[in-house]
Amino acid sequence: MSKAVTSLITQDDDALQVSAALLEVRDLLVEFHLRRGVVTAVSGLSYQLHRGETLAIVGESGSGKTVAAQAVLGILTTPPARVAGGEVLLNGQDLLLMSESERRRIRGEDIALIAQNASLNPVFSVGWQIAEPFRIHRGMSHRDSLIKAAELLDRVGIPAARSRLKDYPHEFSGGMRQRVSIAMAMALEPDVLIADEPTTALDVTIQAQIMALLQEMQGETGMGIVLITHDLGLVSEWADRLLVMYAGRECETGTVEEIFAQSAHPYTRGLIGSIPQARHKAGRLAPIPGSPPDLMQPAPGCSFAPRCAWAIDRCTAERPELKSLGSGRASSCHRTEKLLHVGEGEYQRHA
Amino acid sequence: MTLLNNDQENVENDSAEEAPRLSLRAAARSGPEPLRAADGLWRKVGHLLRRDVLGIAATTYLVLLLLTTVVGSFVLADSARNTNLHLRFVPPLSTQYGWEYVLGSDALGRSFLAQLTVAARTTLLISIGAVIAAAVVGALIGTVVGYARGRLDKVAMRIADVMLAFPSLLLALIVLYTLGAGLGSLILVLALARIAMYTRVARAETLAVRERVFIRASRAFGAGSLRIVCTQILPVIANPLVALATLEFALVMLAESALSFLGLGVHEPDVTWGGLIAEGRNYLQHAWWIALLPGLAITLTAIATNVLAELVRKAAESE
Ligand SMILES: Nc1ncnc2c1ncn2[C@@H]1O[C@H](COP(=O)(O)OP(=O)(O)OP(=O)(O)O)[C@@H](O)[C@H]1O
Ligand code: SF4
Ligand SMILES: [Mg+2]
Repeated sequence: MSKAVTSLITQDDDALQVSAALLEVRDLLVEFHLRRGVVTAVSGLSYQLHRGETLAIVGESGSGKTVAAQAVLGILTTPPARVAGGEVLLNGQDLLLMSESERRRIRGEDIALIAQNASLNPVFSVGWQIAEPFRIHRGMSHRDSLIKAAELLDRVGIPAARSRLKDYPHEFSGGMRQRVSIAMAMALEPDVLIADEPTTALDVTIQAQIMALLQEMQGETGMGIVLITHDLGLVSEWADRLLVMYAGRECETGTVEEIFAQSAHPYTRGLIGSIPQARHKAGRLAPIPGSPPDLMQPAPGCSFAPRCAWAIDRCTAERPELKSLGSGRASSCHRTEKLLHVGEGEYQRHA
Repeated sequence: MTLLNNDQENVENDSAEEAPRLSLRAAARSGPEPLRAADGLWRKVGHLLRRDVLGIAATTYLVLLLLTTVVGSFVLADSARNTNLHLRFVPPLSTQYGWEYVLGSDALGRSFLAQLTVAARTTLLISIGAVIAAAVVGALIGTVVGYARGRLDKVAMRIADVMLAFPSLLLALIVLYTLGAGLGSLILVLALARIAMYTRVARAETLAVRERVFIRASRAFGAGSLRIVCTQILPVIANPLVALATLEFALVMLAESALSFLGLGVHEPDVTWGGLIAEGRNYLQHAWWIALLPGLAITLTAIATNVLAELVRKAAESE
């Protein structure tokens, strides 16, 4: 979304990159300790998010996107979940090392979440809920917080905002409810906004409106957005950078242009290949044959190997490490170099 | 019916008070009135009532009972105290000695209608007080441990099991022996014996609610556990708790009557229905109404609240 940021990333000065990152996640490891065994939902996820930037995290259902986001905020239910390793640096401070009460002060204030699905309590009026962050963090009185809530509703484009404060979530349409969620998340103008599938279950026109709203808010506040989605069409249109996840691991990361022009990972290529011709038309991902692996007993080697048309013997024996390809781009595939020399058409033939 | 419910109301009333000042809520705005959890419940009960003769009868009885009790305990307070030895054991259903004696008189010649009414007040006060106390404390504990899980939860649930298995009469004897009989200790005993029920129900409901997205979202805004329990979970689980409290009312009232009958109840001059029965036991031969009428009142009230409780349960489950 901003050229300045992109050019910043492409600089080779590592120190500058680190200092500029709003949010940096390093080697995040999340496990679920269940009676049946241990599910490793996220293993070794790393990313950086810069001011004014939108980073899209894409992957099939169950790839660990939501779990990773919740781990970053520290709102996983423990037990069964356990953040078993990694760092989450928000403005240079490690959230994972903080006490719960310190983290609570940061949530909503510096980093906010738009949760997947309805995040509104059905028994409270919308105004009361939007005003919550002001009461929690600013100790505002009920009346003052409601005034703020009205301003926010107005800002996210709800007509006659004041008169709708007393309405209940079920009295709003899906798109409106999502606007309300955005209003809540934006209440205290956080530095980082994690939007977990903010437009799923909305029709295409409303999707575009919601994304435009998020971008507008980003323009005003310079926040960084982590956009979690299934929808590569959405990514191509609204994100700066892309991180592709598969079975809790990072497959590939880079700028949206680079990856769409020439992806360095077979899974990403499969995803891109599965978008309908016109890229911005929403297309649910699926058409890669096969299903994701069991996260409880990960096979050795590449977790995508059983479904990969490019797999070689090495793939089932040795897990591919995430290799940097320079300028913020990375891929975890044994055949990355090969892929980078093969164009789209040739890939199709190969597959 | 319970404080829980009132909590919820307060929150909402707050906004009802504040909002008009800043909002220009258009009166003409179409669409249904916003549903509050609690008022939605009572509206649903009203809906169910329309097709239910028994329900209407029960509700009518309860409303009449409440009205007579409230009005009667002012109007009849004096007659309940005035003894008249010329009018001992006046049989009921005659207005020969004035309307106050329509239900007869007792051994001291007091109007039995007045006695019943004053006893009703004490009975209802104790029963409602005990139900509310048990519901509030039990629900709070259940919600907190259900939200916190872990060891706290396990310990609390074991204690609840023990409390429910413990003979209530024994518990009553212990408490009343140590604290002495009286209104306060009676409420305490009756509440103590039933707290565990609310704890169980509240915990089970909380377990279902705590994984819902809006709770996560609330945590993502930095809300603390106490805040989440009080403002996000309790209002959502209020309906089944209200249903339980309605059902528990009859049980508590019967227990209170039993205790009073055994002479473990309130002292003179306070009296409850159970106490009247105990007194009437002495005159069963020639003044049957002294034992029968309070017995009838207890039975009718218990049946009526059970009928209402069933309706509330249906309404709470119909969400
Ligand atoms: N409460 C839980 N208990 C056990 N395992 C869980 C739990 N929550 C998530 N998981 C595991 O974590 C994995 C990742 O789940 P997650 O919700 O992050 O997927 P996702 O990428 O957000 O999928 P979707 O696109 O459907 O939202 C799941 O496959 C599941 O195995
Ligand atoms: S490592 Fe092998 S199996 Fe895995 S994506 Fe690359 S080519 Fe496919
Ligand atoms: Mg998800």
